[in-house]
Amino acid sequence: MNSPLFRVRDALRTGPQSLAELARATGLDSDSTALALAHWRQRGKIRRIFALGTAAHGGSTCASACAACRGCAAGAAAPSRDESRYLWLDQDQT
Amino acid sequence: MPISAGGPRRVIALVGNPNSGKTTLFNALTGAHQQVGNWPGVTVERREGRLRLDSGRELMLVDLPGVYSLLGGGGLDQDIARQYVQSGAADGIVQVVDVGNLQRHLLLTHELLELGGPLLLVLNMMDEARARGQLPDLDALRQRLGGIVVLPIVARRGEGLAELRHALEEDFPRADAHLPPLYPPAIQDILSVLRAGTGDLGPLDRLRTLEGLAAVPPEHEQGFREAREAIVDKTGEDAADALAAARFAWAEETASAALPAVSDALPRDTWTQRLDRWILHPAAGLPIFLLVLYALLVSSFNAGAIFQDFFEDSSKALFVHGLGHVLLAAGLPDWSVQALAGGLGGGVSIVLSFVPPIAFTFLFLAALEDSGYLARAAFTMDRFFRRLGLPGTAMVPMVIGFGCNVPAIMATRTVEDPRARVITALMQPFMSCSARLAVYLAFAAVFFRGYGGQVVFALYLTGILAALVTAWLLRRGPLRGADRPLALELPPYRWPGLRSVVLHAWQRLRVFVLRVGKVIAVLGAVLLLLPGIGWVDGGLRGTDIDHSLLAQGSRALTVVFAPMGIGEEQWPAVAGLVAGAMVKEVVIGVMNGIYQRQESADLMAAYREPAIGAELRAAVLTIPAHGREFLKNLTDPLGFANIGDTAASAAAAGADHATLRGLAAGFTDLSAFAYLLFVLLYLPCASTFAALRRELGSRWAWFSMVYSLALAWLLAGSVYQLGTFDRHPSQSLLWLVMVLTVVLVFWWWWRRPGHIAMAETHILGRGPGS
Repeated sequence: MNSPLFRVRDALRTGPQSLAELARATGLDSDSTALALAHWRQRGKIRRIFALGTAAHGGSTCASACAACRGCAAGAAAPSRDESRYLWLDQDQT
Repeated sequence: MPISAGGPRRVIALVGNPNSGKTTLFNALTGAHQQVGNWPGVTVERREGRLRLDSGRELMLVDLPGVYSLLGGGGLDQDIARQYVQSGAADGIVQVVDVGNLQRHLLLTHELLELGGPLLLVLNMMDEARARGQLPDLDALRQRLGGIVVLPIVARRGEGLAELRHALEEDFPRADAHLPPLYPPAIQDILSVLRAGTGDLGPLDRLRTLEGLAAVPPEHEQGFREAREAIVDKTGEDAADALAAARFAWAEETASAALPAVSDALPRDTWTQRLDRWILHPAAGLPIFLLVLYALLVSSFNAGAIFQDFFEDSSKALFVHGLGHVLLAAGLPDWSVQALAGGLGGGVSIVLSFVPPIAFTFLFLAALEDSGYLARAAFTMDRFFRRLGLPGTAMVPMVIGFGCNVPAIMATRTVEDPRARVITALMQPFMSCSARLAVYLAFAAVFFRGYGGQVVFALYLTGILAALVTAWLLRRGPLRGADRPLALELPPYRWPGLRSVVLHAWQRLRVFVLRVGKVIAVLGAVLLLLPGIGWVDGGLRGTDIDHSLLAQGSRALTVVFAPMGIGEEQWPAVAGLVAGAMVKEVVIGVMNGIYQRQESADLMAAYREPAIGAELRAAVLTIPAHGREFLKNLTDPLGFANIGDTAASAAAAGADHATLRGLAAGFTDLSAFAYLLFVLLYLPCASTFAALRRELGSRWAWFSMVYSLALAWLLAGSVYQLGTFDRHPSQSLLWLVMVLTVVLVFWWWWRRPGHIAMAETHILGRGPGS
């Protein structure tokens, strides 16, 4: 089934992403993306992490740090200090 | 079947996402014919209104709480909306959709179609869609929705409302047989089998159960287990994911069929984006928020103050002096005239004196809400308040509380999470309102010359600290529970519609006047009666204040205040506290009356020879006089400028020389500070109590009363005992040990799990297991 819900899941399985990045990757508007994220959060499949940028990674996970760097390297706008990213937790599921 | 004009009134439920314009449409359709109450057993607002159609038929519109879904994750609001639409209480459902977010809103439409009842879709904000070149194909949308009525409107401007009213004349149709399947065939077959075996469950409850969002009824365990296994078998996904994915896919396909393709180059709401760059900026957002709140304070209390004396003085002329004169002329005894005119009439006068600041607060808040700013303010403050387990929306009531606690408590309705709303409301009585400032000013004039500003500032900070400690305690006691993450939609900025703002403010004001006012008036009759009557010659009679029930009671009560250095000779100050429980503004007034020993005589004289015409003229003249002061006070909305100037402080507080001399003779600096601490923290005034009772129920209102009284007594007593420790160490030590014991016992009692169940069942309106 080509559902936006599964497109969000597939995008998250490639690595942690912010709401804006997910919306771009899935072709959804940000509101529908947020609702899809709400579903996966309610199901306990994702965790919200905070990407603080390359200079201030004190409280963030390695995954978020990498995602932040990759985002900058790819020429995307640098993540703002408060921007949340979403990490898919259930990596084994195919 | 159409209902005849003389038949029973049809009920239509308005359903929609938050910010879909549902309430604006409700206001536009029903105007002033609305009733605001609570849903049974809970503190969620229930609004219903009458709509008279062109044919003369009348409809009852019920405005359900805004929800994104009826299935799960939406808390109390969602439970109420789901139970209502499933109950069959409504003859039809109108879903309000923001056409700019069609795909998201269609997720809710999917759930409403699942119900199978009459449904009408209203596409709101068509003007914005037109400006973006994103007008939907209405015929295509109708076809995708099985032929239900779909109407375009702009609720703010009233566009399309005539067509909507016309459509409401008749029963509107359900989706017909041409409705495309809501789920893929494999899932649809499984659902059909399940439906046949669980006919006693509502359609939405069945879906919730299947998706693991509600407990499975024991008699249906096998049916649900088989359905879940079948879905996993057919789709390879959990039932919850497969069903939700089907809804998302349906909404996307339906929106794509109705909307033109979006060009990537098309800018979307650049006006909103430009503003948000500043308003949501991590650094600039906070000062902008503070600036807006400052404007709110100035507008609510300075602008309200222009009319406050007019309302108070004119209502006093009519309902106190005028009524008293009529009652005296009718031959009623003095004490009953005092009770009816001074008490009930005085209560009405107090209620009306609150109307201007509360009306301005609600107007300003409604405008902020409609403009889209309030959601952004909550977002800006969320990172600070999250540490207390409160959403950012809790900030607004706290600031309003500096002016008056009553509108602050009513403004907690903007806090969506019911636990956070209870906590935020219980914090408000500790915010130092302008009435308490009058008491501070009088004492600052006598005791704290040269450093009055610092003392008053310390009192304000103590109030904030007490509010924060209260929030912390509640989060660790009965209102424990997972913090709800702030999920806010940031709607585009819009000019607030005047009609919608006025109606919204009027609804809240009416609730205050009619419901809170009743309690104030009754308490007023009791408390304002006390200074005028006493137990004389074996019966209750009108007497001078020295022999009144107030004096007798206050003298007896001074023993309670001994730990904070107040002796029997300071009974007028205790009497001020007793009367201040009614309304804090009267603390100084009662002391004035007592120290002058003439209040009672003055009151009766005003009843015998009222000068109502002159009083009304004087009341009218206060409007231009206060209007001139408005601009002068723009930089000082809380009235701090008077601190430090003895004469100005006393004048601002309304304290006369007799009172100032009386205070100076009876208090020391330390006991005066302890007294002020007590004034700051003790009982919420009657209006605040009534507002708490209305918003949270009696239990929390009484809790607030007992808790704040205990906190005030223990803290004020401890400050005095610590300050005089060297004079009587053993007595002070005993006091401090007692305070510590009380705190420890309270902590043990507070953390008992039974309280959590109590809060869940009685306050939040549901059992802990639900």
